Amino acid sequence: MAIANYFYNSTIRKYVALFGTYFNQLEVRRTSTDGTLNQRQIVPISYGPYQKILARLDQDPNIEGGASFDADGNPSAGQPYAMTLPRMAFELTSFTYDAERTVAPTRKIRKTAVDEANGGRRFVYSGTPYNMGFSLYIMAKYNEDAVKCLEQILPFFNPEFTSTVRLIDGLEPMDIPLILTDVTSEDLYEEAFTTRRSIL
Amino acid sequence: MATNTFFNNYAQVQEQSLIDDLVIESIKIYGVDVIYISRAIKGRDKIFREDDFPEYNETFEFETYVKSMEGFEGEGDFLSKFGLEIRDTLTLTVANRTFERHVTREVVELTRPREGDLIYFPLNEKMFEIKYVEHESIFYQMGQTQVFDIQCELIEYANQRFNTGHPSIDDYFAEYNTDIIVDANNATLSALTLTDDNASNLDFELEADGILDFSETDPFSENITISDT
Repeated sequence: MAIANYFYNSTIRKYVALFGTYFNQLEVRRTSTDGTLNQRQIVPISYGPYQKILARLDQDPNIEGGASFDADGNPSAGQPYAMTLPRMAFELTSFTYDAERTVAPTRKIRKTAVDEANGGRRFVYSGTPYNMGFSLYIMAKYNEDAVKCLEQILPFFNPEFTSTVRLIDGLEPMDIPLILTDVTSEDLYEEAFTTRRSIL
Repeated sequence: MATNTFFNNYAQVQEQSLIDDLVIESIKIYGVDVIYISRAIKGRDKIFREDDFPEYNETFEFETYVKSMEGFEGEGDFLSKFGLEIRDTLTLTVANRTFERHVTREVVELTRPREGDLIYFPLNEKMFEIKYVEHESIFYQMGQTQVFDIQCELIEYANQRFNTGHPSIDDYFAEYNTDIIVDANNATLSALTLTDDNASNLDFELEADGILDFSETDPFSENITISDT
């Protein structure tokens, strides 16, 4: 078989972590009507896909309600709320081949360190250009929480935000642009009073 | 055109009072004692028309009847992209006179259960937010209404503040409060991880520490030394 050479550089996993770290210190501050600053918090972010059994065991371990805690201070009771807000989540949604960035496959990229254990080769061949699509979601209980998050994100994308990343050991760092392509918002507020308002 | 004057179905105070008594007695027999927590609006935004900074500072206890007796309604537990969501809803019935006796006599302007107030439901020890109060669920029996139907759902916690003086209420969400001193370092992210089971902020930070290149002397990685040996 032609493709029978095992390798795994965790590049996609690194991209996921990289995307998460762009937004992992967003802050929401709340003030009372007189303008006094009263609350500051970091907005929680997580990767959306979650193994269901782990989600249940992590977040609702003992099923019953009540805010009781074990000796280490970790909640030992069930989840006593529907969810906490505001929060963000993201997921990897697509892989698209980018023909415009294609270079000759025989082009060599010099390694920064020689791997003697691997025959002492000093180069690797050029990579294959793919664009990865991510979707970031913000959910808030209050409209203003949502726009506070959004306003802290949008100015950094013109439309790209570039960071330098050591993606593969032995290769020099690469500049990875994160390009903002689309922003949509959703506020379900028009239905019956018993229907939950959802701000995304 | 007029109703029959020999039958007075809608203005008999004694009959109305009797039904009130029966309703209250029934709820006392079959009901559940709950804690009602009133909300004070402290951060009203007149542009977005919302209050993102509520404070809950008074509690009242009274009996209610669980109208949705076959279990919680709503969407139940499910996994969304934001993690585990528990969308339990509940309908409670409280007698008008019970509410008046336990709440309105204490706080005159609280003439009815209010949307946005909370109810602590002791059977599963969880906090529910009132979404809507239906005052005509029993339609003018003997000329007046006897009960409020309180439709509520499990609270979405967004760092609401509790200063009721009721220890089990005030401390209820203490461990989940993410109102922390922000100094943009890992210690703060660690604190967030302790208060939010689903927050991966610290995990991303630690993972990315190994791959992000924020070298001040070489921000664009143009002077990397390449070994030829």
